[in-house]
Amino acid sequence: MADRHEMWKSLGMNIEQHDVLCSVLPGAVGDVFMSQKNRPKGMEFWDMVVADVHGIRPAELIEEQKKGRKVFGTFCVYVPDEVIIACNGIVTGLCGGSQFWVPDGEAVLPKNTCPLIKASVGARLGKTCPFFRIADMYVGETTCDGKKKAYEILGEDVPMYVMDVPQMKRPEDIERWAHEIALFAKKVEEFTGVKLTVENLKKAIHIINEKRKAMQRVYDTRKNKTLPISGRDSLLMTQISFFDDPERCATMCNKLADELEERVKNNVSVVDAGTKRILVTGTPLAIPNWKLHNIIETTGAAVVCEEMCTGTRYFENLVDENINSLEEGFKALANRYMKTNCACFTPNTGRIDDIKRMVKEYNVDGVIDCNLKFCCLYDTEKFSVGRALKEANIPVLQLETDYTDTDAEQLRTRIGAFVEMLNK
Amino acid sequence: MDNSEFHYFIIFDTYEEAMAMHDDLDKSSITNKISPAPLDLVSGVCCGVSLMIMPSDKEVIDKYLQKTNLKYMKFVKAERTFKPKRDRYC
Repeated sequence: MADRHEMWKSLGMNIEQHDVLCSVLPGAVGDVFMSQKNRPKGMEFWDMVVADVHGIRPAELIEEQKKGRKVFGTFCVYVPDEVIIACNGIVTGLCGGSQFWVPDGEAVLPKNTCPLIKASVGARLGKTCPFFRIADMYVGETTCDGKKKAYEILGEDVPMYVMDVPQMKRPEDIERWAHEIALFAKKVEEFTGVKLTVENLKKAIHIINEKRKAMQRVYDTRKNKTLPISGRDSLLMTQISFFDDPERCATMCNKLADELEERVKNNVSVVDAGTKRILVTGTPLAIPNWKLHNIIETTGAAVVCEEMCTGTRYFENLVDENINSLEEGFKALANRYMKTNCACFTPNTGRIDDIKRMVKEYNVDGVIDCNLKFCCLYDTEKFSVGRALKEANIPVLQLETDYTDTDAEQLRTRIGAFVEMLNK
Repeated sequence: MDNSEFHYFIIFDTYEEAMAMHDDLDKSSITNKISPAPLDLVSGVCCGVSLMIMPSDKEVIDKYLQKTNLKYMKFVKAERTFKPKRDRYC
């Protein structure tokens, strides 16, 4: 498949506009990734994927569709991939992380909507992302008001199913989520034509657990004082894991983890000794949003952990594989997914506990708590997060940004001052 | 790999061909980096994965490729600088 244009045309994409997006990718990838020294060799897989991010995986998905498989596009780590995979479906992440897609989103959404939502809607309506064209069904969720309303708009253009995520974590809420998963499973069965059984669900749970374990292994190496991988590279790995085949993802993450563990043994670090270690928490960083990590890591610090949906929330906690009925399977899934601490819940003190735990586990010197503009939930939660960290004597810098490049210098100044303060 | 203004990009029909050459060059200790192809210079008629090499290695690679059956489309010379603090994202 030499000419990607033919594939993109067949998806009904706006080729002229999409070429504009493709033309910026080499520069950004060069500046953020190729400029780094001493990168792990295992990152070459992700370098390959990102180099042809709108080519390789979309072509694979189209081939699978020809065999009759269905592709489900998702926007949130609360959607249980296991159910889709059990029914022979394929999951692909759909969150937009580029300013390029924002104007097309703003054509139908208020400007004061968070850029992730605007970019996601814009990528679909502007016809400039193959994943948004390929997905046979979108699966949304009720994590925030902006998304809920955006799904109504997207639902006019593509089959859409919305899962009702509870807003609290009482036992009855966990039960309700198990019921919601059961309803979703019915929809997936109907859409794929494949019956969900205990056997195929068990197998799917195992596949996703293995992927989670592999990603955790990579993250575990970042807990060492010898830092074997940059935050930018780890972020790229995580971002692409939302799109990749889960079994291949686990294989590649395990291969990378093998190399990183060797690096730790041999004291091979990507940063100088004494470089300040940052935990980033807040709203997700969807591909190709590399701005915050790049600024932090070119301002004298290193990102060692992401407490966010494009980070630990995606893979921490496993689903119990010991199930004997679908009901038990749904409960096991609900128990695992409801451990994810998103700001859409009230109260959400579990997130603060997670951040404090990870500060210790990852030997963190300072926390950067950053939300995307107009994300009311994470912006509001900054108060309790900041207070708790200050009480625990953990230095914290709280920021707000979007996908534009215009605030980069301002962020660089603030982050630079924070790192300087940590160095004193 | 330095920050030279110009680099050569080896362009391929498929990413499998690109990775095969990458592995081969690596085994022969010839410096190359996986890079997004400069699609604007090749009208998109190639896969998105290219190999970036330094101008000083071009002759060595030319000679090396004459001895192999590795498939590629062509070499493209393009300006490419690395500026980690440029702050221009996608």
